[in-house]
This record gives sequence, structure tokens and C-alpha cells, in this order.
Amino acid sequence: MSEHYKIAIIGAGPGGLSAGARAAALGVSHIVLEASPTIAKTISQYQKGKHVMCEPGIIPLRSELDFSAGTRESILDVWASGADALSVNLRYNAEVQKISGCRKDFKIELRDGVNVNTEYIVLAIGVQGNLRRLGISGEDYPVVQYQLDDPDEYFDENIVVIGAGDAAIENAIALATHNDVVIVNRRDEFARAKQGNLTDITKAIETKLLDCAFGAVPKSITEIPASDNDKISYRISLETSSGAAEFDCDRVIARLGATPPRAFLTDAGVELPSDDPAAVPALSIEYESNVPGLYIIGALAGYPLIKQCMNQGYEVVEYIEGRHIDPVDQEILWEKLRHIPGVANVDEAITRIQASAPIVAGLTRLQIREFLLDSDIVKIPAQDIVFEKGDYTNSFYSILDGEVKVEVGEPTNDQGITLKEGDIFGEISLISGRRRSARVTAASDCVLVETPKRAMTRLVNSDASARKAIDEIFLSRVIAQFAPQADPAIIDRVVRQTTVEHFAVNEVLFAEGDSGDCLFLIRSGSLVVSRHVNGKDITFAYVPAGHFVGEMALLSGAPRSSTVRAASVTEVIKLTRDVFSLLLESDSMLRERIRKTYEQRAVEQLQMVADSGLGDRFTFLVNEGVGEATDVLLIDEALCIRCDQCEKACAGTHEGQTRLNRTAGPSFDYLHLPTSCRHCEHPHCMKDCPPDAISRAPNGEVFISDSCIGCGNCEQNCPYGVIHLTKPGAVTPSLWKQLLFDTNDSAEPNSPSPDDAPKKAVKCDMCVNLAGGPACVRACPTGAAIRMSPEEFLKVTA
Amino acid sequence: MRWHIRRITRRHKLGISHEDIELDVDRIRFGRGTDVDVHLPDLTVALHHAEFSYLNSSTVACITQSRAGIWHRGVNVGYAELALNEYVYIGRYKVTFIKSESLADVALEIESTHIQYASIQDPQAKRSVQSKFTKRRLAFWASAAIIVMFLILPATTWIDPHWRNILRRLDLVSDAAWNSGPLSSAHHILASRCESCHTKLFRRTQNSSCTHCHDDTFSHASGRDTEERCGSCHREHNGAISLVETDASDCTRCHLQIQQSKPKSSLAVVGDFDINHPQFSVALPGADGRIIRTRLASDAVLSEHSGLIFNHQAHLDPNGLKVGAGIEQLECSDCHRPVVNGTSMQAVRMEEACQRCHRLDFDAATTQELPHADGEVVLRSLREFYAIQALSGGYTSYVRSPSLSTDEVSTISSPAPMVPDFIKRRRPGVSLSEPDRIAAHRWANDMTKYVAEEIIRYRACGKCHELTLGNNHELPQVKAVRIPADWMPAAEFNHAKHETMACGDCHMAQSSNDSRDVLLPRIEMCRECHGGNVATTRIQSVCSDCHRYHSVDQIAVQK
Amino acid sequence: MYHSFIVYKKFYYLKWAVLLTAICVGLYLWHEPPSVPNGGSALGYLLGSIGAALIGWLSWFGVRKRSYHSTTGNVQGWLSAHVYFGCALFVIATLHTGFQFGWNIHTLAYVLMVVVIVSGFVGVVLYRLCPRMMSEALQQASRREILEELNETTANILRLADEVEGDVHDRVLRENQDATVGILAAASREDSGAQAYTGNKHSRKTGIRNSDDLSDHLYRELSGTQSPEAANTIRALLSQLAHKRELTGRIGREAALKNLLTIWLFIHVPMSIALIAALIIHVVAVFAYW
Repeated sequence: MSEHYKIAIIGAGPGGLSAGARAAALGVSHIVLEASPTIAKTISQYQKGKHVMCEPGIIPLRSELDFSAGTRESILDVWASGADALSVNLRYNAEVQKISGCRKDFKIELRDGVNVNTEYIVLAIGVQGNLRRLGISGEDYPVVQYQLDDPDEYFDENIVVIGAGDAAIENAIALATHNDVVIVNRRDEFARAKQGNLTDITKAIETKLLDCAFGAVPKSITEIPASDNDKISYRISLETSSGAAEFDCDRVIARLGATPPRAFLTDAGVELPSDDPAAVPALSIEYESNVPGLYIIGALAGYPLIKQCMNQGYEVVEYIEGRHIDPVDQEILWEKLRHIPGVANVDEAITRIQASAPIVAGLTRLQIREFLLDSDIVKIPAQDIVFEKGDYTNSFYSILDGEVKVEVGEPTNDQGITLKEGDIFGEISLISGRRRSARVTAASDCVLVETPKRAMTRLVNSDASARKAIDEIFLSRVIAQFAPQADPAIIDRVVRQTTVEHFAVNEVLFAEGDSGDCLFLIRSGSLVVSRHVNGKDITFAYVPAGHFVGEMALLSGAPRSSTVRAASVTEVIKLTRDVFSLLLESDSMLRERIRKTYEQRAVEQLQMVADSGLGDRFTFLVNEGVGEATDVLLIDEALCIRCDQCEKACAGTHEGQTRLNRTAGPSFDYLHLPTSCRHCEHPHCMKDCPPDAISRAPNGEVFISDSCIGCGNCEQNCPYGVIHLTKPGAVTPSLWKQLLFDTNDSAEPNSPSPDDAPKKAVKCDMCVNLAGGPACVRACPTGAAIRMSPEEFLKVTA
Repeated sequence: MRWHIRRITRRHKLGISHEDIELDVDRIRFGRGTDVDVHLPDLTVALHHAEFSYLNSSTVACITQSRAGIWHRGVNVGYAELALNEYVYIGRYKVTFIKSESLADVALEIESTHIQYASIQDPQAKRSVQSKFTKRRLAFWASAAIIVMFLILPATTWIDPHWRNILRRLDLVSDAAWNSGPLSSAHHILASRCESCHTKLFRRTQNSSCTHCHDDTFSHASGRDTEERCGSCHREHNGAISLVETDASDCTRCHLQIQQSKPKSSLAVVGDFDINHPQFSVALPGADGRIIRTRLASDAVLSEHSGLIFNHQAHLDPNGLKVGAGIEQLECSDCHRPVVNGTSMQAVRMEEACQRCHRLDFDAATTQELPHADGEVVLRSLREFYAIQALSGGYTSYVRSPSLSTDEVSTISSPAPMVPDFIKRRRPGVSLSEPDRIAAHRWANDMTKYVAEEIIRYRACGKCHELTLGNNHELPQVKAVRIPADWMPAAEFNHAKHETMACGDCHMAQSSNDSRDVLLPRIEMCRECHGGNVATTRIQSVCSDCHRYHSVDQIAVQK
Repeated sequence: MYHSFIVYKKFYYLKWAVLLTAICVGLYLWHEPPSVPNGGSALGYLLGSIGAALIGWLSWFGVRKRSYHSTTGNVQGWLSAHVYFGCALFVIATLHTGFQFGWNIHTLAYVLMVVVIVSGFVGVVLYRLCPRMMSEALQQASRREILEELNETTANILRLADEVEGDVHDRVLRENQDATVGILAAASREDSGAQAYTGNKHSRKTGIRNSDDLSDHLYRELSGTQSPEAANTIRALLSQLAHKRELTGRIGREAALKNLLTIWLFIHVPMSIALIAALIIHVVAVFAYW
């Protein structure tokens, strides 16, 4: 039997519910099909009592259902009561198997055999997709579950966790503290997991916190009759490479991930631009996919934030009803685009930008709106400075109107280049993460589009043509800086023949004695140069992004004089011999300049060889991943009296929560590396911070603003464990009260805090808004703690 | 004996879940082995670790043979008796003796705890045992003790004298603790009675405290408004040294700025004997007997009017003076003799010094001499002599030779010659008749007047004394002799200390032939030996070497 | 890059301290006190007020160290000045006394000051020596790593002891508990103050002695046994025991040195508070009995 509706909404997440609510409010015949028994399944799986934020703040909410920041439970209640009030036609456990048909005549087949035909379909299934089930006998026992609400719920149980993804690893480690846990992994290593989880699970297995069965596939779960102690326990039998294995357990948790929605989309005829799993389907301005009548909204359409999904749910129903209302961000965009001369409304502004900004050429209007939402339109009067050389800003500029002058050398001699409408700049710092390599001033009154790094990385990931455009411009600019006198034609030919290579940490670019056939220009990351001297590898140089290595072998033809390894994840531009010779001919000064740098490096090398201790220390620091840092706190253990003043100062100046752990962290030859943020060139924490709370101040401090929602991504992503989630500490007593009445000697640095306050991520911000620089350095009585950049490591004498 | 064993596992948030078993044995055995009543499957437990036995309703005993021992109240023991709700550790299991709800006689509760040898999971576990030994507590007690001992207790001595005496006997606790140094030897008896000088708290010691005993000390410049504090010069509590200050700075403090403090004062600005000490000034009695301070002239000799006539040069004639029969060489010490302790010189007395040669005999007939006294006394003794002579026998009356004119008489140089006029004789034993008595009386008077005139004017008094000649027939009056008792009253010159020097070195007596010469030495002479406060080649002399602070206004005339 | 507080800014504060001391000594030699040199003379008052000001300012270091927002110089500079002006204070205060001493509050204040300054010297010496020795004691490993290794060793010892028959396992349990309570409890408390070193005397002593009998017992067992595996286990157990003793030794030494770094403060700080009290009383007494 089949039912007929005008709009069928698949997925009862925030987007689907909001669309259903709007349709119910308008009285349009609709049905909301939800695979799981509850609404908003993804959010219901959040940690119990998790504080959900209502970001981004600037966008207004236009949906029938209400939504404001609060705990998971309160939000779900609001939505459930809202949907009932509007009597939204909701059907649970209605898993959609297949979609077919075309506009005005779609057929949806459900898993339980019911067919629904509808005129329009709105896909709002989010990125979680349907949880993949074990598919073995005994999977229906109550103890088999597919998600973990609260790890502390279970105590002293034997638990088997099946799966190798992030979710499985997090659950296994969380449960291991109070239970005996076994994790079952189909393959022989945890490839898919994030870096943070990978290190955690390997460490847990090493310290026997939990056991792991590699190469094992679950076969069946049988119930063991109650033996002496009255606890019912189960036996799970596994098929491993070395034969069958059985585990007695009280509970089985299967986190096998979800069927990727991509397959579901392609079945329905929706095309995806690239096979990158995070690729977003190309949608029209009204969220219509390439299949007419099939609309996609929410996380699947690339809008993960709850408020955006709800707005889209509201708008898609309006579009289906034929009312072409302005998208919600219309006023906000207009507020921004007003400054562009000669545009009357948002659409004209977008077409103007599309025409004059090459990088957005490949984007749909919807993506451009998203791109502009994050960017700013900046009007800069003539002679004003856009950014100074040496600033740590990394935003990307495309010129809409007027001209800009870029000066690489000293401001006095103006041999800088001018850029006009349609050109872009600021890409070098965006890619290398280093300080600005040039000073940019406005030659005339100009209008620029300034886009922050996050928006740019999202754009580059989703649009290959934009990535290519930026890379090419970057290459030509870097090579121009490398060989300023070479004429542009030669540079273009060189750019086409260069290749960009990627190296992981500690991977060797070339070893001592190899034949030298190419020169490397470091695009991002940093390299370490070392040599084998009387039986020992001595590191003697640290080369950050923007410099070059391997030049002498090319010039003199001799074999490589030293080994070069990557100190962090590095991208280098490889210039082969003939390409290099091209440059040499067109720029006479190049050979001279290279020889000079070579001499300077030779001197440095001699000094390092003389003091071999320095080399070992340097290698120790690089192995600790300091290669990618910009400002590291190092403690000289020969001076440090272990008085913890640095921690107390950090707590004292940051609401009672210390961001520094002196005792933790490795030490080597009287040099101690405490756990404190290193303000990396490419901060791992900034990669996916939903509310974009982590930003970088002009002189390099990476700090977390108040809009942190405590999601813990940064804590996960940071490989050095310098970020932790805590509640804001109670106010430490005033100094005099402490001195006079506080009977115990040291004020408690991590004083406890009220329970209900939401947890926030906390990390060292190098006292960005405190006068006098880092408090820990200022408060060290014996001068043992000093914050320094990697270049200064060479001066750290024993 | 029925035992109720409850095994509990504490769920993180969901409360406690427990399993209970009942056993009927006398002594219940715990351990890791298989043949025990309660099986504790952990390597920290020995095979046969411990046995519990029932003593009475409120105590249970636990005994262990294993060398691992059991932990009771934080100590590793072999045997322990548990009261209700007390516990003991076997390996990592905590066994508590609890009240049994069910019908069993005794109940034990077993809980497994996670003993971590060192809190690795959370290296931040910094809280040390709240030891009573913190820096602040030590500081508090140390400073409290000091404040009580040295501030409060000494302060209470000012509340009640009786309490003060009690404390004084305890010596260290009383305000003796505030005593900043031993007293000078003179004041040592007052050592423990601070209130004798320090009468008011936070007020400098007042002069009234000092004059309480030293009531006779004169203030510095008598009556003038220099109310100086005794304490500013006499500094106590510096040990057994004399309080009399020999430091020049106490005097120069005012005398160098004498104009600022006492504009009316005539004193010179003095700071150092060498540098700015003025010429000496002597106390010369003025005409009306009042003392006038006149400064010695640094080049010429000062002259004075003492009313005496004395020619030092003549007396000190190197080839001697005719004295009686022989020649005698006079020296200074013949007249000027020091006081007993030799510090100053006695006043010269006529009887001892001069009378040997200047005899005061008045009549050839007798060796009796006139007393060196007032005019009346001299006349009375003359009159008595002559009266006796007249009354006891005859007398010869003399008369002045007419050859001298009256104005010559006034020259002092030589007495008028006398010629006998008549002799009156009388038989002894016959009482005189009235006219004889009157004649005798008149004769006596005349003779007295005559002899007096002669002695006063020519022979004796006139030699040394200046006379005021009366008109025609009055006797010449001896002017009052005005010699200051102390030539330099403001200073004290100690002759004894200068014995090594001859008198002539300072007093230019040999060359002075006029009694008006003041023969006192000028400052230049003293400066030959005495230097200033910081002299190096000469004797360092400070103010207190010559001057006294307290007794400076005792200027009097020599009697 | 790293300079200790002694050579801070090329002895900047040492120069100032020497200058101040020279001035005061010069004044003392030039000044002619009316009677004997004593605190009450004009120079006495001057030196006294300089000394009091110095004492006040030196104790202000405690406040500056804890006011983390302050930007007046950095704490290392303050510590360097604290050390050098502490020495200057000694000379100035001694000149102020005019070498007059006795059984009174005034001399008590002086004695307290000397105690504070001497303990300060001890502190400087310790701050120069102990850190380096602590790192050497731990042989470049961090305290956490050693504790982890210690746990593993203890677990191994227990496991091996279980395989040896006889009451070896009980003995190991006993020895294991003692050593644990004494040294490790101390070591796990990061800021082990004075009481940590004293620790649980009973256990620290018995811990060592106990494990010796254990070793003797094991040697006897080793010689007595025939089966090669038992011999191997005993030999493994002995090596683990030796390793454990070596680890606890290292931690013990490090904890002891860390205690040294804080013990001298238990004299320096309380005595300086007591000194301030005594100084106040000294001034009050002097002006009360003026």
C-alpha cells in the first residue's frame, strides 16, 4: 500500500524537524520519515548533560521550533513539545531503502515494505547515516548496544568493544578505567582514527590498560547459563587470523560507524564533485540538488551547525511553496557588501565578486554566500598599511577595486610590486603559517575581500580549481622572492615544471652522500639539517618555511654534505637541476646570494660540531615535535628549583586554572620541556573548532576566546596534550588574605569550581593581553623558565 | 557461628551493588588460595592470608600467619581486634566489621580498592598531608612570642609599680629588656629602675629627672634662655665611661652658630682652639667694683687699676734686693703660692709675701708692727699704743719740721722729718689727774694721727697702695684694692699640670715695671703647645680641657 | 640564554649594593661620634633608618613574588637584588649597632637578622647546587617515568614471587608494602615538604632491612634448589629486587634534595617575620625610653 504526500522529509534531525514544523504550520501535506526511534539522533548521542551552544551568534533563527544554548536534554524536550504542538506528521523506525522517480512523482521505499510517493523530497539525514549493525547471530541480546551514553555507568564489567574508528577507541579508553575491556579490530592497526586517538589507544594497549584483538571478526554471541555467581554473562566467539577465539563478557558495544550517506545519495541520482568523503553535493541557491525536486539541507549540505540546519529547513519549504524568500543571511551579507562601489543589492555584489575574484570562480552562488559570510569586505584608504612585515596574521586577500603595493625589502627602496583588481595576496602566510614575508600598503583607495584561514581551508578542500589557482600564485611569488631579478616569463615556465612534495615528521628528504640533483624551497613546516660526525648524528641547523636547502650540491655538483629531515609535517617545492639553471641564467645575483647563505651555514655548523652537547639537545627537542612550534617554554633544570612559581603565576593570572604543567613533560641533559602550548605554525587545535574560538594574535599567540563550547576537539587534536577541558576555577583569595590567613603554604593552583559551570577548553595564551609578556617567565625567581622560538634553540648553551 | 560476608562494588554514579553469602564456620579464612572460605583473587593477597574469629558481639579478631601482615590503622601488624565499623586491609581489599542485618551473628564487608603505588594517573596530586609544620605557623608563633615577651610585658610595667617589681625580679622579662646598654659607673645603682630617668614614655629624659639628684648644677649661661637638655651632652647607656663629655662638638654645636641661636650674645664664634678661639679676656674690676671683661691685647700689655703699686721688675732684680742685712734674690714662688692641689694660685697675702721687707713698724720704741688691716684698725692700734704709752709714763711729742711746705708734703716720695718737741714725764704709781688724762689722750691722738699720716703716706701703705689724699688735714685714704679672685673665670687653668714650665714662660713679670700691667699670658703662648680639636703636632685640646660647662657664671672679686 | 639570578644583568644589583655599603662604611669611618659609636648618634639614626628600610624592602620580595600581574621588573631581578642588598644590610646593620651588644631586644633583633641573612646564604648555595644534583639523581628521567617503572617492577616482583614456592610471596608482599609507604608515598607528593624526608621512619628503615633478609633468603633458596626454572625465576626476582632498590634510591635522593631546597626556607621566612616584629619593638623601645 502506498501513501501520497506533497513533501517527504527524510531524517528528523534539527533540519528535518524544522522543515516539517514549517510545512505543518502552512498546512501543507507532509511526512517526516525517521530511521531511529527518537528525534535528533545525533544530538541525543551527545554526552549526557553536554552543553550545546547556539553558534554562529550573528545569524538570526527563523524556524517554527525554538532553539537556544542549553543542555542536550532541554533542547530535545523543546523540539519534541514544539513538534507535538504543531502536530508534525512524524513516523519513527521508517528507514528509507531507496528513492526513485522524478520531480512531482517520487517513490520512496521504506525498509518495512511501505512505499511513499511524494511530489518533493527533502534530504535532511545529516552525516551520521544509519549505524551499521553487527549482522551476526545473538546481536539482539539487550547487552549488545551500538552507542555509549555515559562511560562511567558501567563498573567492574568485562566489556567487548568492536570497531576501530574514533568512537570505538574513545569508548574503549573511557570504559577501561573501571572495567576490563577488550577491543576487537578487523584490521591489524587503527588506520582511520584521528592522531590523538591513535596515540591514546597504542599507549593504552602498551600499558595493558585494555587488551586488543587484531585481525578478528565477530562470529556469534551466545548466552552462558548462570553458573556459580548469579551474574548472567555472555560469550562472544571471534574468527581471527590465528583461528577461533572466545571472550566471556557482560556487555558488547559495537561502534562500526555508519553506512556512508554518499552511497545513499548516488543511488538517488545526486552527483558529488569529488570522491573525497567530506565533499559537499553541489546545490542551487534554493538547496535543490542536480535531481530536480530533491532538496538537500543540513550537515549533508555542508552546514554542520544546528541553527543553520533549522533555517534551511524553514527556507526549503518556502522555496517548494514557490515563495522565493531571501535567504536568512541576506541582511548580514548586505551589511557587508554595501561598501562595494556600484552595487545595488546582494546578488549584484555576488556577481561582481564572481567576476573579479578568480578563486571563487569555481563556486556555486550558495558556496560564495557561505564564503562571504565568513569573509569581510575591507575599504582601505590610500597609503594605509594592510599588514606589516613580520605580523602573524594569516588571512587571505582578494582585490575588488583599487591597487595595492607589496614591498618585500626595506620600506625605503620601493622596488615592491603593485597588484590591481582581480589579483590576490596574503597566500604565503596562509600556506606557510609563518609571519608575513612582505609589507602591503594601499597604493590607492581600494576595496578588498579579507577571508580568514578557516574559510580558506574549507574552500580549498571543497574546490580543486581554487586550490590550484592559489598554489600557482604561491609558487610564482615564492620563486620570485627566491630569485627577484629573474623575469616573469622564466618564472612561469619554472612554476609549471616544479612539483610540491609532502614529508611526514622525521622523514628524510635526502641523506648525506646522496647525489645532489635538486633544491628544495620549503612551502610550509620546517626541516632539520644534521651530519654524521665521529660516530654521532649532530643536528646543527633548523630551517623554517620560506627558506631553501640542498643548494650547494646543485651548485658544486658534489654529493650531499648533510642529511635533511622534516622536523614537522612539511611541504617543499622541488626545483630540479635544469629548472634551477634556468633561474641562474636570468638572475645573476642568485648565485652570489646562495653562496653567502652557504657560508653562514658552514660557520654555524662548525660551532655546533665544536659543542656536540648542543646538537644532542637540538635533536631531543626536534624529536619532541618542537620543529613546528613558534614559541616554546624551556626550563633549564640546572637552575630550576622546582618551586612551581611558574604554575602559580599561570593560575594567578588566568582565573585560578594553570595552563602549564611543570612536572609533566620529558627532560634531557638538564633541559626540561614542560607541558605548555608551543603556539605551532599550523595549530592542530585550530583545524576543526566548530565555533572558531581559537585565533592567533598579530605577534603569534594562539588563544581560545570565550565562545568555546567545550566540544573537546582541540584537546583531541593537539598531539602535545597542552589543552585540557576544565571548569573555570574559583577566584583565588586576595594576596594579603593568602599571606596572612592561608595556613597552608602554597595557594591551591587548581582550586575547585562550582559544579554546574560548563567545561571550557583551556590552553596557554602566552599572556596575550597581559603587559610584560608571559607571566611564567616573569615569575621564575631563578630565571630557569624562558620562552623562545626554535631559531633560538642553537643559543641554548649547556 | 554464622558469618555474613558482603562483597560490595562501588558504582561511579549509580550507588553501590553488593553480593552476600552466608557461611557457618568458627574461624573464617581469607586468601588467594583455593582452600579458603573467602577467595580474594589478587596478587597482593597471600595464599592463606588471614583468619577472622568472633570474640564478642562488639569485637572481632583478625590474625595472620603470613609475613605480608595486615594493615590496621596504617600500621602493618600480625594481630588486630576490630570494633564495630573498624576496618583492616588485606592486600588491596578493605575488610570492615559491620552490624549484621540478617540473622547471622557477625557480618564482614569486603571492598576492593585500587592501591596505586604512586598516583601516576594524576601527577598533579600535590596535596601533602596537612602538616602542622608550615612556614606561616612558625612565623606566627615566633613573632607572637617576641611581641608578648618584649613589648607587652615590658609595657605593662608602666601600669602598676607593684607588678613592675615582680617582673623586675624576673630580670629578662621586664623593661630591662629595653635597656640598650650598661649605664655609666656613676648611675649604675639606677640600672634596674628605668623610671628614675625615663619619667614619661616617648618623651626625651627631661632635665627635671637629672636635677632631681644633681640639684646644684648651674645652668650653662646663668639665667640666659639656653635651656639645653642634659641628655644632649651627657649620653647614657654607653657603658661604664664617664658621662662628662670631652667632645668639642657638644660646645661647637651652639658656639659655632652663636649668632643664630642667641643674637644678643656678645660671645665670639668659637669652634676650635687653633682656628677661631678669640684672644683671652680677663675679668677686671671696674671703678664701681663691677667686673668688666676686657680682652687682652694681642700686641701691647693691658693695664688695670687694681689700686696697688707693685713693680715686678724691681722685685725680680737679678742682682737681688737688700733685705735687712743681706741681699736676697726674689722669685715668683716667694709670693705666689699654688693652692693645695696646685690647680690654681692662692691670693698673695701681704703678711707672708711683703711684710718680711716692708715692715709695718711705726715707732722706734717698739718692735710691734701694725696689722695689715683696715684704716680704723690701724689707727685704733696706734691709738692704743700711744694711749698706753701716755698713760703709763712720759711721752715725747714730736712736731713736723717747719722747713717743709705743704705741697711737698703731698709728694709721696719721702716722709717729713720729725723733731722732738717736749718730753712729759710722770711718776709711776700715781693716778693721773683729769688734765693729765686729757693731755695724754690728746697726745695719743696727735701721735696717732701723725704716725698714721707718716706710715700711710710715706713709709708703708703709700708704697704699695694708691692713696686718695684727703683735703688738708684728713688722713689719706687707701683706695680699695680691686684684684679679681679669678682672672679668667670662664676657664680653669691648672698650674700643677704646667710644673715643667717656668713662671716667666707665660707671665712677663721681669719686664713689667708698672703694677697696672696685666701680666696674664696671651693665647699665642698657649698655642705654642696646645693645638685645636684635631691638632696633630701639638696637644689636642678641646673646650672641656679649659672650660667648664656648668660653673661658668661664678665671677667674683678676690676677697 | 640562561643566566642564574647571581649573574643577573652582569651583576647589576651587586654594583648598587657595593656602592651603598661603601657609602655607609665611609660615613662610619669619617663620623666622629660624641661618645662611643652607638645607634643613638646622628650616624646611628641614619644607618638605622637605612637598615629598617632595607629590611622592609627585602621582605616585600614575598609580596612581589606572589603578585603575578605586576610588571615592575621580573622576579629574577628582584631575587638578585634581594640577595645582594641582603649582604649590604648585614654590613649596614652591624655599623648601626656600633658593636654594642647585650641581653636586650635590640641585640635580639640583630641576631634574628644575622640568622635570616645566614640562612639566606645557605639558600643561595643550595639554589646553585641542588637543581643540578637533582637532575643527576634522576639520571635525566622525569619523576613520573621512574614511578611508572617502579610500578612495573613491583608488579613483576609480585608475579615472580608467586611462582617461587614457600613463603617468598608473603615476604615480598611485606617488603613491598613498607618500601611503598615510605619512599613512594613521599615521592608521589610533589611538594614533599620537610615531613616527607622524615617520612615514615619505621617503614623506610625496615623497608631496606627487610629486603636484605629477603635477598639472603632467596640466595639460600637459589643454592638449595635443583630445578633450573626455579633458579632462573629466583635469579630474575633478585635482579628485579635490585633494580627496584636502585629506583627507590634515586627517588629517595631526589626527594631529599628537593627537601633541602625547602627546608632552609623554614628558617629564613619565619625568622624574617620574627625579625620584623623584633625591629618594630626595637624602634618602639628606643623611642619609648628615649
